[in-house]
Amino acid sequence: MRSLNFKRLFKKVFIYFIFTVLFWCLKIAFVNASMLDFENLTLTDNETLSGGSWLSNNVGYYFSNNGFRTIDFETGIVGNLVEVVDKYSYGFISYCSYDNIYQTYRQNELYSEQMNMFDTYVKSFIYSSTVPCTIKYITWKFKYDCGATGTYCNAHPRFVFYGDISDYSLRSYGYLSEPLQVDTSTAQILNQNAVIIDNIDKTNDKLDKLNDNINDNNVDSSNSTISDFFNSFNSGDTKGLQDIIILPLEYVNHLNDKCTPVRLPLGQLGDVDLPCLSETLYNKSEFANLFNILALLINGFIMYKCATSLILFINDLKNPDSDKLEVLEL
Amino acid sequence: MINKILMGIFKIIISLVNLLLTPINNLIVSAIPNLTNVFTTIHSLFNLIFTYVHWFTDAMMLSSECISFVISCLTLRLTIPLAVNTVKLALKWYDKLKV
Repeated sequence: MRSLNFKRLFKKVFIYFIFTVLFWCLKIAFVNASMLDFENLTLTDNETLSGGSWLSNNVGYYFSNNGFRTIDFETGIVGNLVEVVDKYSYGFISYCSYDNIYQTYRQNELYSEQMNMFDTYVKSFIYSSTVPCTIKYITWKFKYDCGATGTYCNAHPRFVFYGDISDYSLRSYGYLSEPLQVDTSTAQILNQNAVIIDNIDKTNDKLDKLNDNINDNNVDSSNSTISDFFNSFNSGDTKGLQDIIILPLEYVNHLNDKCTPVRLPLGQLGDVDLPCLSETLYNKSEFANLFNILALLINGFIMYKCATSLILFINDLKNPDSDKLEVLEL
Repeated sequence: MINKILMGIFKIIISLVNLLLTPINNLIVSAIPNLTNVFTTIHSLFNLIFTYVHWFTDAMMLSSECISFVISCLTLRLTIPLAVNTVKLALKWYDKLKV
């Protein structure tokens, strides 16, 4: 009797053991399947994104399960990148949480983090909560800019979710109901938007240049403009009436030019080379101060005389006896 | 903008001067060919003078500022009577029109 009971007990224990093993096998298989569903969620494959375009899902991806405690969200450009400078990807994801402590549902309590990417590696961030929370939805918005606006790079963005399986059951993985994807039409619209924005930028640049040109009050180039004015007369007859009229003005315009050594022909005595005195004599250290004072006196005297004569001339304008204006009028 | 306006004004002046002087010049060349030699001589004289003028101003220790000042004074002396006469002429016309 006892042996019969023992056999029955052994049989029950054995069946329980078999079922337990089977259960764990099924559970592990189920978990692995769920993990396969969850990992490597490829948003787009072999998608070529225009530089500067935003890839986003403003609607968000909805979850309906409690139990997430840690979310690891990864993205990146996986694949070949065109070798252009300043390739980077940044963006943010956001999701709201359910706080078990205060039992208040805070929609749009956004947890966001900017991500920078300077290479093809995958950047991730981890959201950790000290309490169990409900992930209501996840939205994302990433900008893939592989260079200057209008350039293209082969971006293979990949979003990978990991859940914290240490404290919570693996079933929480199973609520990802559909793969994340961006349809082709959306990508095309984004590309078109990028082209439109690029054209708008170009138009704005042209308008800025036009505005700068209109508001440009710089007259620094007036000297060269005046030189052009005189030089333009030389296009015609070089020894005609125009030349006689313009020639003195042209020479006056070049009066301030730097001194050049000249050769003085003295007939049978031969030619005499005259070097510039400012470079040969006046700059001698022995006489430099003396000549500086002398130059100051000469220049000052001439300028003083010019100024006084001009003032006298202007004063003469008031003098009715002055005939200067009348002479001109004749 | 200002620079472009200046260049435009200069081009207009150049065109006007060429327009006025070209027929006179052609007339002189065809009717009084010897006068062309005078023009050539004057041109050579200016060239001769200005070959040495830089050396001369350098030897006289005249600075570029002084030369610019002298040129500005002379320009003013020529411009002021011209401007005053222009204003006087305009006023005369205005008075006549008013009458």
